[in-house]
Amino acid sequence: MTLGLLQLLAFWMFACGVAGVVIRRSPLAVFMSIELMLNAANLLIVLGSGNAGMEAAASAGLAAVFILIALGAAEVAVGLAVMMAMFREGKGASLDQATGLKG
Amino acid sequence: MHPVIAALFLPLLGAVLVRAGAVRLVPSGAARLATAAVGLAHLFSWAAFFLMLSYAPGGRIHDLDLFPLMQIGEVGISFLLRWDPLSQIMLMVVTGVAFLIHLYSVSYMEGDDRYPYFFADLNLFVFSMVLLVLAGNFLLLFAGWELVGLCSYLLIGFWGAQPVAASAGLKAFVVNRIGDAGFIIAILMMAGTLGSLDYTGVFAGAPHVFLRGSGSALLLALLLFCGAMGKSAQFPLHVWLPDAMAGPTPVSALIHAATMVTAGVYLACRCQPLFELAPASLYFVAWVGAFTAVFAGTIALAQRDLKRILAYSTVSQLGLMFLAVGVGAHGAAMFHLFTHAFFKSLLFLGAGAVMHALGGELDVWKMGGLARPLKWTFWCFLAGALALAGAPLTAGFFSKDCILFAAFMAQPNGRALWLMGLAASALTGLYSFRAVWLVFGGTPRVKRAHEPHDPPALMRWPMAALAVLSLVAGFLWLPSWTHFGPFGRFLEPVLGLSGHYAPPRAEEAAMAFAVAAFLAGVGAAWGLYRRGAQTVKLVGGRLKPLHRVLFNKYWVDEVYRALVVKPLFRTAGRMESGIDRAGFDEAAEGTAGTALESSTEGRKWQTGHTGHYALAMALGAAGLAVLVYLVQTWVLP
Amino acid sequence: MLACAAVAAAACLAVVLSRDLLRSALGLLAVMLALAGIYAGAGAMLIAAVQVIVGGGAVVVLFIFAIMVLNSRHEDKPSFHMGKAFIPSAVAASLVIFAAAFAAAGFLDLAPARMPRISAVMGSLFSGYLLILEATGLLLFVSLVVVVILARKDTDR
Repeated sequence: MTLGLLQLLAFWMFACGVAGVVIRRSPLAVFMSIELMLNAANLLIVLGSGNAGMEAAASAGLAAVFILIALGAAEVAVGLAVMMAMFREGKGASLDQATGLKG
Repeated sequence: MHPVIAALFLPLLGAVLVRAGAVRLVPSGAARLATAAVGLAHLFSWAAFFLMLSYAPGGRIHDLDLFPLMQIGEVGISFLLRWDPLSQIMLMVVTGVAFLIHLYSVSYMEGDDRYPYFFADLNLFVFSMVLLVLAGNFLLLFAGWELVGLCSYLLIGFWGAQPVAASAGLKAFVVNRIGDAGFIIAILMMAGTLGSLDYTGVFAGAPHVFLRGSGSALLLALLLFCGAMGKSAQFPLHVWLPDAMAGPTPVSALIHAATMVTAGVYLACRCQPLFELAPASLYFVAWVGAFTAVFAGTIALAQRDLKRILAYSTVSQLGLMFLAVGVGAHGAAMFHLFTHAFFKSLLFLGAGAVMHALGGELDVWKMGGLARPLKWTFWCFLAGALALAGAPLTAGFFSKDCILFAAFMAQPNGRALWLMGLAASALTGLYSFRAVWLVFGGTPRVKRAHEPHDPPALMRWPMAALAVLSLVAGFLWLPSWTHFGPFGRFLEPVLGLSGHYAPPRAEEAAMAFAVAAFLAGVGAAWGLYRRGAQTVKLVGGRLKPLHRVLFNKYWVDEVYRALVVKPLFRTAGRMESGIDRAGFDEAAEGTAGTALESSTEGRKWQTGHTGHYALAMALGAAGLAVLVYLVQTWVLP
Repeated sequence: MLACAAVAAAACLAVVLSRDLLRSALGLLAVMLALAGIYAGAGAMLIAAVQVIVGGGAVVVLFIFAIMVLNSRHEDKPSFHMGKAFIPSAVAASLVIFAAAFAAAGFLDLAPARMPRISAVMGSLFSGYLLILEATGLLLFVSLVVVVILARKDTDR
């Protein structure tokens, strides 16, 4: 039961992340939603490792999560740096202003 | 290498080189290169002649297989040349006359801004004509046939900026095409049933498939003659030749007097075995020839344009040649072809000289009194006219006499044909000397800007050479009682016996009639046209309706325009608006329009808002997820 | 563990729906910590620790720094110029993904979880997946450089 509920939680977090990316106007909020999605995926992998039959696969899963967390942090860092650069130029307070692809 | 091969390819080389270097060569360089190419080809033709003489008379027919060309089913075709007395004579005539005309053109075409291209085209023509006569199978013959048609189109329309010349070139090509349609069908018939297009194969196999006297043999022969009618301007496909006079005069001299138009006669002689399988076809040929001879002769009487008179004269003389073919006297036809090449091209060159002197004037009623200022031209022209009319002892006399006598002896309608031939001869005398007197005799009818003079040397000497030939070439085949006929004997291996099996006095009687016809024609011309044509003005008043008919060439062109050309244009117009514009253009533009409209609509989906794009991706992902679920649950198990 | 799950679910909504960016960041923090709790309860101690340190101590701190530096605490009301159906359709899309993923995957096994020992994890990390590990290190280094360059003021060039 527990594992199933936790799996449910992971899917719920992912769905919230998607909704956040689509709805939110501030780029910061969009990043947070992306981070949410990433964590949901991590949760799923951890749950899977716990259930795995072979120890090799399980440890592979945990190793992957280890690296993924670090990757997520690096991604956030770079993204925020980009955002800061955009803010300095005067653009990027709201994603609604980014209409360069129009037409 | 075999001289014949050199004679064939030298002019082609000349054409290619001149065309390639047209911009870089000085004009005189181009002319010299082209003339040298043809001159060398002529020398090679003499070499080939002596080579042929070294063989025994029976062993003079050779097939030279150069290389294989293609294999279509069971029909194998190679680049095959037939070298026998018939093609040898044609080769010498073509290259010789072409050489003289090249010399003439060096001077005549001087100053033209497309001067080098003229020589390139002339060379190409010589190559095409030589290919035609040297071909050893029907495919090469047809290739040469079409090529000369192309060169004719190019050369008639050489001054393409003038609409008259351009449309004349087109007319020549189109009318030729009509004849060629028959020719192509004949070739296909042969290829399909005989499995070979080589002369040897066809002539050997034809009697077994196209049985003598059968309908298929008749059809084959008539289709071949159809091609000949187009190329040699026989009624009713004669209409292109007078209009072809819009081209430069050397072109008229070479192509429309001496060589291309004689290709039809050559074809008839070459395909003699095929025509003999259908005797009825020979009747047809003879009657078409005789009719055309008289028909064209009458038209020539009323023409004002000097070159047109000569053009109709050519049509008429070609008719006589076909008359000879039709009565089985192929040798006589070739002999007349031979002599006609000389005096007709001479007459054209003379006309060119007159035009050159008068600044392009062609209307004979505006000429007159040119005998004294243009002495050289006058004497050469007179020689040509005498030969054309058949004055005794000239070349034309002997060749025409051959034909008339053969017609006289032919069965069953020989006498009728003979009478038509005589009438044509009388007409020839009449119109040719009408031309002579109107152009050279009497006093000038129109005030002239400056004093006319004889043309420069390069134009005079070819004329002189042709004049000499016109007078003496006839001695190559004297009437049979003299037993001197090297020309006829030379052609025997190909064309069969050329002797006239005649009762002893018959030939002299026929000759007398021929001379009488000549005198009648010339005498009438003398009476009507000397001294500024006062007599003809008196007589002409009463003959006005007849004159209108003749002047308008029996309205043949107008009939064609009404019956053929206008309906074709109307149909083409309807097809263009109905099928082309409504169908294809609409389809193409409609497709483009649809694409444009759909893309304009599609563009509206690109809003530029990231949120919209993210939503689209999310919706897509959602759709995929659903799909995966459905597949996993219901499709896979 | 269930308590942590409930907290995570609720904080999730806070992240997505709050118009105050600071609240969103704090919600994210709550999610991270709750997840760490779940990992610990499942037996993956190392991962739980890493999650707290990196997720809470780095990511969220970065976010809060960004909010502070850019002074963008408040987000404007979402306007409807993108169409009235926009937000509902976005929410609907996410729910569809949620449902479909869940239905496709089905519930995990009910057998008790058995996490591998830390030594085993590290063993595999430093033997079989060594390349990935080192590559990740390189990646971190590169992103460090990138961030420094991007964050510089123009006048510093």
